Formats: sequence, structure tokens, C-alpha cells
Amino acid sequence: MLKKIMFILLVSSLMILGSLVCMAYGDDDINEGSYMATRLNDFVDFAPSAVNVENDAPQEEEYSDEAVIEQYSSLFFETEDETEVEFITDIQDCVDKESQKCTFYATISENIQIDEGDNIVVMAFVQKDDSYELLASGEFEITIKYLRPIELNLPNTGKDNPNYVRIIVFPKNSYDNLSLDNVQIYCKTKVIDNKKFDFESTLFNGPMDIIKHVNGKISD
Amino acid sequence: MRIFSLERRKTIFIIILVLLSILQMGILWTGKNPGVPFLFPTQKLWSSVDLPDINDVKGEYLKPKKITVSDGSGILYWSLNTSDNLSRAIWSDFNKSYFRQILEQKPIEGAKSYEQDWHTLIKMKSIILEFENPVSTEIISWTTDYKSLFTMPLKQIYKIAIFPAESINNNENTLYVYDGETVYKYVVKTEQGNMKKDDYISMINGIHKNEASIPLNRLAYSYPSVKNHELIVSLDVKSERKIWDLLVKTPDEIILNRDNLDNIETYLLGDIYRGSMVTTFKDDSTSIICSDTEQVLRYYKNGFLDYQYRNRTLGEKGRISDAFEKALAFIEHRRSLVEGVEIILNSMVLEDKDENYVFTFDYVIDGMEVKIISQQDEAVRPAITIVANSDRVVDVKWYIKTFSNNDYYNYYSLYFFDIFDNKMIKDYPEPLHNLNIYDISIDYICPENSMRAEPYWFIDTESQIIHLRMQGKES
Repeated sequence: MLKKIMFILLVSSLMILGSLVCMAYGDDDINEGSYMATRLNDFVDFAPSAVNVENDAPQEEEYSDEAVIEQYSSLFFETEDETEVEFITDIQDCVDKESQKCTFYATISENIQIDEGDNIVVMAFVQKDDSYELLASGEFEITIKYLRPIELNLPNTGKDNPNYVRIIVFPKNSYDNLSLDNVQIYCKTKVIDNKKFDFESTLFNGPMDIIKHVNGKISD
Repeated sequence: MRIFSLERRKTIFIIILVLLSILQMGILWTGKNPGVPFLFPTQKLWSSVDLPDINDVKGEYLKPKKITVSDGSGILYWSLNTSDNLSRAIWSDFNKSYFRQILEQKPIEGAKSYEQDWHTLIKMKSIILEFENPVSTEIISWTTDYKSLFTMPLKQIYKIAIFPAESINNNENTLYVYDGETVYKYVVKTEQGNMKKDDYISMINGIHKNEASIPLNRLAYSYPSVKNHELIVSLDVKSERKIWDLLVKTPDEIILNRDNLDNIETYLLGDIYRGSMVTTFKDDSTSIICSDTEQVLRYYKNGFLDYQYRNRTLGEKGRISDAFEKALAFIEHRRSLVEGVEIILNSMVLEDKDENYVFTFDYVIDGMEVKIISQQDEAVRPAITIVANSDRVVDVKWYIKTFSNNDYYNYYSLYFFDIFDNKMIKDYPEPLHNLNIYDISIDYICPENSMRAEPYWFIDTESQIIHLRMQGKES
């Protein structure tokens, strides 16, 4: 009887172990995919994580932002000028004074030449020390004339601390064959006004405001 | 004695006959010649429908489609609900005072270059009123009961921008009136009963804090290729609006069946003289026809009224305000049938042959128009189309319906880019890449035989108007 119970316990424990191992493999898949934009045209905000420009080539064959950035870091970040290729045009930006977020708007270029059914990938980076930090990335259908707004939380504030923004655009299907001929690079320097309390200017402007107010009352 | 009595009776009988013949003649005369004064002026004496005075209600047919506030950035605009108190107060100022002042003075020559450029003006701090289509100043003159003493350069009004801070005088307001081509500047007095100038200024300055209105972005600022520089849309992903589906019914008073013919005639014929009218009930019970030698009126089971005066060319085109009055009189005689919506003038144009004026009217509920889809050609039509001249109404197409909230509502995203996720977008083969958007609005569509109206995006492009059913968030 004892042998039978032991046998049943052994079989049960083996089954439990097997299940746990299977579940552990499933989690690995989820982790790998979680870095990709899962829904078309939805921009994914990334947690600040500086991209190392010196990294080796990626190991995976399937498209992922991380792999592409690693593979083409020299193309994306060491090219000094903007490229002549134009997938998006009329790039405008607007800073919300309250939230200090910078929003980029763009229109799909009329002369865009990519394969039917292909989409474009847009990545937005900001320079941080010697590396570039990926702030947002998304995949866009080119059937829609107007690109969805790209909202960026720029890290630097103040006139002395500008943000060097670099926007990279390329056709998704060509991700394994990118060059200066099929990558658009757009650079923009954005200054976010420091809205925080400025002690020095308050010292100067405060008394001046009072003098102006008193002068105004006298002239009335 | 007996002979005398007989003769007397004959005389009394003849007198009665003569009186009856005069009565009959009077009825016929007034019926054929409405303007002729007579003992029996109109059929109103025995009409069962109560008629309001046109002068009391004519102003209700004219309202702006949109009232927006610009904060002066040229980027953000706030659209006021046309039924809220602020909008009503602004519109009341125009009806009671500003329109009269515009009509009684000549425009001022604007010295600065921006004063002639409408697109520059709307980027500045202002409140902007916009009609669906340009409205003739003659009609505004008639609705406000004020006749201009001189020939006005301003023939029609399309949009008006109020610049309360421009004049330094506290009792003056500056208006820029745009007719679709030229901008005219007027300085008007803020009269007793009007909103104060400070109220206008604080409305503009405090609009950021107004939670009732959603900030909208001028699309051309963000996307310079947009051709309509005034197109404003929501670029806020979270912006949404609760919208009810509408229950649409044929009015109970004119439900089509044989037992209800008297009621139908009473309500639908209205002021039309029906002495010689012949009413025919169609065998399949889908419609009735009332006709005589001059006119024919068809009424269908789905509430569609089709009236035609047989000789369209008879009568003078005359003044547009006179034709508009005839059109309003036609509506007012049947206005009590329509419930739950306002009836607002949409457009006025001259007929192709230049003989009559064509007026279209929309049903409007919560600032949204209700359009009807015809079953035959699937074309979207206004609720009422009236062709009239200064003498009479010659053609009417009217979907007579009552409206109320249905048993269903949903929250709909107003975010501009959500339009492109619409399931119905595949119905339009033209690639969106080449789409030039001129206007976007949210309106109801009701199929002519349906009892439900649902909210749709109306996207006006270069070549067509696209209708996309809005997709609720809780579906």
C-alpha cells in the first residue's frame, strides 16, 4: 500500500514539475515581445534607458526596436547631417507650457516610395551625454496622410540645457537592410522653458512689478 | 291671407339662398385670392390648428452653427455648446442689438493689414460665430425687424469675430464680419441689456478653465498641408462625448391609416385651401395624395411630405426675405407636429433657372444636425427643402418626424486620429493618403424608414462627403 502511495506521489510531483517548467518557457516569450509596439500606430513610451552606441549586433532575426537600434547605432547616431530621404515632411513641434511636454506633428510625404502594405517606423531619441535615449517609437500606416502626434517628455529644461532630439524614420520591411538611402534622419534642438521657481529673477522682477503697479495707480 | 303668407315664406327662402350664395362666393374668392380683403378673410376661422404669429418665431429659425473662443495662440480653440447660457447670451446680443447696428452703419476701413485677413484675425483673441452657410443680410434684416436705410456693401454674413479688447472705450465692441470673401469691420455700442464688454473679455481669458468645453486644435497649425486653415479638431486622446441614440417616429397625429384621414388633412394641408382638393388613399396603404388643378400633396407612411405647386414658374421671384417668409409660414402651419428638435435654416440659394429660392432646414438637437438617408439613392438629405418665391411656396420635401432620446447612449471618442480606425473606412476606396479634409462634424443620420438615428462623423473632402458611423467605447 505504501509503495502505491509513494508511486502516486512521485507521478504527481513529476507532473507538477513539468507544468512549472512549461509555464516558465511561456513567460520568456512574453518578455521578449513586450518591448515591441504591439498595436499599429500606437506610440509606445519607453522608460528612460540609455542606448549604448557601442553595443554588438542583435541576436534575433524578428523585428524589434532594440535590435534595430543596436544594429544601426552608427547609422542612426553618428551621421551628422539630416538625410535627403523624406518619408515624413512638414515636421512641426509644440511645447505644452503646463506639462512641458513636446509634441511633434508630421505629414506623410507625397513622394514616399515604399512597398505596398509596408509601414514606416518612427523613433524619437534625445541625446544624453554620449548616448541617445529612446523616448518613443511607433509603426505607422502610410495610407493615413497625417502622422499621429508624437508626444515626448524631454528631460532637459532651461535655456542652458537644450534637448537634442533626433527622429529616425525607415520602412519597416527594410529593417535588415538600412542605409543612408532608406533612412530619414531629422534633428531638432528644443529648449523647454524652466517653469520652476527662479529665485534670482523674482528678486529682480518683484520690486519692479510693485514700482510699475504704484506708478500706474499714480497716473490714474 | 294664406297667399300673403306663402309669398312671405318664398321671400325669406330666397333671401336665405342669396345669403348662402354670398357666403359660398366669399369662401371661393378668399380661397383663390388670399390677399383680397373680404368678409371671410381666411379659413383660419374654422381651422383647428393654432398658428403662432410668424413675427414671434422667425428668429428661432436662424442660429449660428458654431460659437468658438480663440485664446490668441492660433493653436487652441474652445467650442461652446450652442444651447448653453454663454452662447445664448452672445446670440441674444446679436439679435437684439448688434445686427441692427451692423445694418444701420457703414463698415469702417481697417487701417491695419490683418484687419482684411480673416485667417489672421481668427488666430487672435476673439469669439467667433459661424453660420452653416452664408446668410443674406436681407433675411437678417427681416428677422431682426430692421431695414437698412442705404445700400449695404455687405450682402451676406458667414462668420463674425468679436474683438472685445480692441476698442479702448468700455461701451464699444469691435466686430469683424466675414462674408466668405471680404472682411468688414464694425464698431458697435454695448447697449443696455447686452453682455458687458468685460464679460466678453473674461470669457476669452477664462476659457482655459471652462470644463464644459473641450479644447480643439487648429489642424493646419500642426499639419500645414491642411487646406482649410480654420478646421479645428480634438488632438487629445482622452477627449470623448456622451451621445444618445435618438428614437425617431412619425407623429401620432398623422399616422397613415384610413381612420385618420381627417386629421392628416387638417394637419398637413394647413393653410392650403382644400375646397376643391381630392384625397386618394393608395391601395397598398403606403401613401395618400391630395390634389386639385393647381397643387398636389403626397404624404407617405414614413412621414415624408412632398408638396408641389403645379405651375412652378407662376409668380415673381421677388425678394428673398418674402420668399423666406412664405417658407416659414409653410413650416409653422405644421410645426406642432415636430417634437424634440429645433428647426434651423441651413442654406439658401437661387434655383438653377433663377426663378425661385431654395431653402434647406435641418433638425438640430444638442448642437448636432439630424440628416436623413434616402432609401432610393442612399443620398443624405436635409430634413426640409422648400422652394419658394415671393408669392408662394412651390415645392416642399419634408421628413416630418418626432425625436426623443432612445434607450441607448455611449461615450464616443472625439480624438481626430480615431476616425481612421473606423471600421467603415474600407467603404471608401480612395486612399486616405490623398485625402484633403475641408470640414469635420458630428451629426446624426437617420435612414428614412428607420426609427433610430445614430451619430456619424461627416468628413467633407474635396470630392465627396464621407459618413462614418461613430464607434462607441462601450460596445
